[in-house]
Amino acid sequence: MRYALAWIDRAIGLLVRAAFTLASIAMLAIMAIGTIDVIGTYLLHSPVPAGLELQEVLLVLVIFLGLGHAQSRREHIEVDIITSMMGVGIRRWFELFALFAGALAFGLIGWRAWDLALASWKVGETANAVFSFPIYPSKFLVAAGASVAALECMRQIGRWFASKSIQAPDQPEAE
Amino acid sequence: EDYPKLNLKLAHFVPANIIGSQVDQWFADEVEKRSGGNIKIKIFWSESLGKSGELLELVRSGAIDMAAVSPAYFPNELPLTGATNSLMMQFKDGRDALRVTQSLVDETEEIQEELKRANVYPIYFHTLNTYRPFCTSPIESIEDFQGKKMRSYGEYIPVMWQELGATGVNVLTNELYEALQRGTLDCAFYAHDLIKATKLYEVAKFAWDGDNALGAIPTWPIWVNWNTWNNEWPANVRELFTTVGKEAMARDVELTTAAEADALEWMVKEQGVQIVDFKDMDKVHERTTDPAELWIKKMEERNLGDVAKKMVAYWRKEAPFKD
Amino acid sequence: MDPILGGVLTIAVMLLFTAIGVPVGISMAAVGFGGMIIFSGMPFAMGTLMTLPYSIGSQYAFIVVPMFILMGSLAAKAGITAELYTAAYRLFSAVRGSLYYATVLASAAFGAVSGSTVVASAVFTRMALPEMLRFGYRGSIAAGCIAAAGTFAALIPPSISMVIYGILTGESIGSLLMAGLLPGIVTAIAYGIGIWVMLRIRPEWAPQSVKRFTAPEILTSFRGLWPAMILVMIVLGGIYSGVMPPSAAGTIGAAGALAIGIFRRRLTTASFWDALRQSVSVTSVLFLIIIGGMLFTRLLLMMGFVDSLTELVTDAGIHPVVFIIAVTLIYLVLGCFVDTVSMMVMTVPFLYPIVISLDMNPIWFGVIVIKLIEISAITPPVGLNLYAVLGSAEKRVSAAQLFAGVLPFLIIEMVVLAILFLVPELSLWLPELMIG
Ligand code: NA
Ligand code: NA
Repeated sequence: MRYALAWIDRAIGLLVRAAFTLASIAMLAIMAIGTIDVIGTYLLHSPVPAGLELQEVLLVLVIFLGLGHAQSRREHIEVDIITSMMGVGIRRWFELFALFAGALAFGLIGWRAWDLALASWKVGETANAVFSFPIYPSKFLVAAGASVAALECMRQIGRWFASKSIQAPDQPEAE
Repeated sequence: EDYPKLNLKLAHFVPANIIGSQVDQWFADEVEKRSGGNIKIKIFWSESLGKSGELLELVRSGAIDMAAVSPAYFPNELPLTGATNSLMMQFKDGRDALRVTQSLVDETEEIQEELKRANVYPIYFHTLNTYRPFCTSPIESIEDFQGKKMRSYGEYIPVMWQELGATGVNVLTNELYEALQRGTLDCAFYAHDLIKATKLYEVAKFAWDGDNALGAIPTWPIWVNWNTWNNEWPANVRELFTTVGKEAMARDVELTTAAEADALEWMVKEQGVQIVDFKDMDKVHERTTDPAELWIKKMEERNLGDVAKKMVAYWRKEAPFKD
Repeated sequence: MDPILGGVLTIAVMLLFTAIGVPVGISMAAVGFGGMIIFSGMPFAMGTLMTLPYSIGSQYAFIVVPMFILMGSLAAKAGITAELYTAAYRLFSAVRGSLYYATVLASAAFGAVSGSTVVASAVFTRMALPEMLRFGYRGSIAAGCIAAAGTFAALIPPSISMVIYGILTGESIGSLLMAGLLPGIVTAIAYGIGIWVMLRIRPEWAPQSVKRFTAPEILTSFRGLWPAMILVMIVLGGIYSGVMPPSAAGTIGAAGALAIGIFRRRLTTASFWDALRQSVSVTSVLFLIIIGGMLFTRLLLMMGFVDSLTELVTDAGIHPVVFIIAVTLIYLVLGCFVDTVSMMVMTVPFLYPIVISLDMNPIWFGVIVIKLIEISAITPPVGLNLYAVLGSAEKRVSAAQLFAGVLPFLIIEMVVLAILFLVPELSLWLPELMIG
């Protein structure tokens, strides 16, 4: 049982990192496409085909594939005025509540995004641009990103019940 | 007459201050009046209840009751319904664009099937006046297009600019003003009344007029849920909407077409806008592929080639762009 | 239920969630969704949750946000910002609180590049906050200064908010952009004076000038400024020369920072990936709040809270002063939940006709509106710029510290608001001069 839990813990950790790596690549791609588009448009009179639409799709990937990682490092912004005045015991219960709220919110967003992706896939949705690339993969990835964030909340809930530190073990601290 | 009590919410994709929006407000007021106050329509302007891309889904899932958004935003769900809304150089004025679109929707079986599948029903459409380049320097001959940065979006317009030797540039609506002011763009691409509404005459002074035009397009309908329309609302509600909708459409076309000449006259008199004597309209037609042909090809990939050809033939006969 | 009562209840629940430590974005999303089920029905809740997150997350207008964040991260990793602040520190080292002044000055300059105040706050948090802490500044005041100075970007042209006001009201965008310039500069000057007064009262909020630098030392530190200068030139020059629209300035700025880092051999592969990862995290964190906020806004709009509140307040008063006070109250309340752009879209269409009927100058009212929505974005406990700072601060300051630290600047803002209200010429002189 304990091994199974440890394995799940590590598997979710891997998923979070995989999603985050994809998000980082998407971020880099936005910069590259945007830069080439400006140079192409204003120096060479030839913009990147569907450059704007590609950047839009990449942005949504950065946002959603990065959610789980931010959750794993507890980076989502909290207002700590009241909790910081409370005792350790009650604070721990609030922490659990916050994790459930997070799992629920990310889970719901992921579920609805999944339906959105299915609808998009059914009509074979393509970008409304000169170069009409398919849109539905990005919608599936958004669903995946939100779901990974929900899983990460659940992993943290598991650690809460095991009375362990919620912080992911293998993450380097921010400088 | 007995109307059921309905409190309807309409999500609109543009601000309240343009002509078509005022027509929609009139429609809402009129419906309320004629239903004896039983049917109320509250309009939420400027994408506040949903971004343009969301509105089709929100109406067809029953999340909101009504929406105003162009069908061209949904080329995958509404490839046929949105055709006249996405293609330049098809209609010489707003009157033609609107008349043809409404009769295509009413009479084309495939469009009705498409709408049923998408679970949306358009009560009445709006129109826009003919689009023309509106530039910071005059375009007098076909050569003047060379290297010009033209406002562009979607699938077909970039192709048109490229064929004319210009560069299509995607600029956000909010940034059009600054883009023209600083030379990021050389030309906007709008109807005269929209240039006036967006104040672009302050930073661009050269307009085309008369036969120098790249085509009017019909624009948004008021969408309702297909199932609600056909299976839930009683006949008298549908009749009321259809009647007031027809009157609204007539108002829309009157007000919109009148606004075109008024806007240009005002911009010339009060704002120092100059009308450019462009002489090469024939060459524009020679050099550009008719977007309708591109659209037919695209529809062939979706096995909609036959109906696409039928539709294009219909509007070429009913409302020829070139006389 | 009465929309006002329903709205207040929903807001109270959302604040409660936030107070017990639920992340702000999740509070707004969860309570927004729950409220939709109760007040607008299941189909609206389900439909909106399906379409809104993807739609908001894929707006091209938002591309500048992650790109300016990336630019800031890369600039920091390449040592560009550290050099900037070292130079500012040496230059003003004789003055107590030199980095406050440097931040105010740099924010005003950055406001001429950026149309978005959230971006300005995020960038300066990454650039200035670590430096200020390094030199021993009071963390809360430093963060508050950054959040507040970030709002300059909305008045100093270019300004996305001004353009939207112009489109909503039909007023001249050119005049509006001009109108914001002097009030923006007046705000920056007021900050300078305010900080000086503040440090007279509370000298411990900034380090004593420990060391005076010699002229050669100051000049040497200036040599390190060229990369920052080039970066500003690329971004500012690119926008003002028309090479690119402001929305593309972020990508060019990020690429420029990367190029400078590589050229100076300051950027290792490892530090590059670090900068990239930090930017992705900050982007996710910010957009969770934006998306949660939009969900919450839709709820308040759909249940009629916004309309009723506007009606309630506008029915009460007729005199322009009463009206402005009422508008101020509306914006301060709404500013707790709603992002600045949505707030304008929701309220200006109702307020503008009243402004015209009261015979107030609509351009001047535009300046007041922009000032108000920016103030609301830095009013605790909820404000988008505050979160932008917290999201970029990487736990260097807590929310409680920031909320306390922003208060002195809110006092300055109230003074500036009063000045702008009492002296309409500040807003109207330039547009009348330029456009006539
Ligand atoms: Na600005
Ligand atoms: Na606030």
